Amino acid sequence: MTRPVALVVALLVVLPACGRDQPRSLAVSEITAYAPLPGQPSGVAYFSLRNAATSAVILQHVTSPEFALVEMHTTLMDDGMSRMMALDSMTIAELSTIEFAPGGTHLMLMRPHDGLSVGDRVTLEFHYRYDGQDEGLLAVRAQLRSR
Amino acid sequence: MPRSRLILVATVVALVIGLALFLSGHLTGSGARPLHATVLPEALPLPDFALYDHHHEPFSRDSLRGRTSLLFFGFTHCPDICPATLQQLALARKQIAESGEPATSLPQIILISVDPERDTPEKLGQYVSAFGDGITGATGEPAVLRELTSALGIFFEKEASGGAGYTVSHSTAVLVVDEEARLRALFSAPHKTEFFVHDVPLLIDAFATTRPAAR
Repeated sequence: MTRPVALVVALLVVLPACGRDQPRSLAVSEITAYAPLPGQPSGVAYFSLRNAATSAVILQHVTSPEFALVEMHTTLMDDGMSRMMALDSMTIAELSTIEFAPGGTHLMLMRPHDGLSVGDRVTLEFHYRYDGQDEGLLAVRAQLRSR
Repeated sequence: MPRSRLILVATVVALVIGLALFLSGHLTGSGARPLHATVLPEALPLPDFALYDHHHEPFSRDSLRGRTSLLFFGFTHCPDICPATLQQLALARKQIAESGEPATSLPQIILISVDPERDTPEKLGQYVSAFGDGITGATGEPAVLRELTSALGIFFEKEASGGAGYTVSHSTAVLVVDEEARLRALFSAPHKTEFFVHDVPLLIDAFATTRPAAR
């Protein structure tokens, strides 16, 4: 089998697993990923997460090959106090956008693999599902920045 | 009186009133006021305290004398609000310097860590240097931190974060301390760089006009 034909066959096998009945409608934009500060175990990522579908999406978790652990956190402000809370999952309503932004919801990029530094490109993998049925994976690339 | 003369007199009167209003506002400094900071009605002298900075040097109330200080209480393991605030403060100070403010008038930025268990002077030094020059990290014994923060209306609390780790919930205000080591104003979150750029020079000017007379 020639290489182009093999690629088409591979896509036909993989695509159905990404959700037969839904268009690819989860999108990440305006991503900013900060490398861990010197001596610190975690970096952080901010972005816009858009669900352009007509049904809700549940973001189950996020992984990255470059970090041992990625967690969704939100910073809660309570009478001038900042408190951090981990989120197990997140529901993004149909046709809506959630902002991951400083002082609010953010991704913790924890325990980077050895050698990772500012300027390196990393992959963030968003694991999601629609209405408890089809599962999907959205992978985006980002370049680590310094503060 | 002819109509043309009436118009001329009215115009002159309006100009005189306008000039008087402009000058009164200009001379009293009421033309530009802090828009984002909460200014205390009376200066609050800080209590004395004994912390240490990221050079292992003593850091006390006297360390705040001689120039305006922007104090933020946080910790280096804080991934979100602390680095974001320090980044905003550092950028604001850079922009204030670029606007022509003399270097001697620029505020010093101080991170007081409320996590002395993990924030050694070495860790603090590494951390604050990531935001540029001129930022001091300081911390100390928990009892000293408690006493200082209580006097300033700052709260912090160690909390479990799952696993063996922990996090520290803390106040997010940026305190403005004048060159006499007195609390004069504070910025409440959410912070924006432009808030500091606008208000801090005005606060520093206002502090200079209300400085206690030398004994």
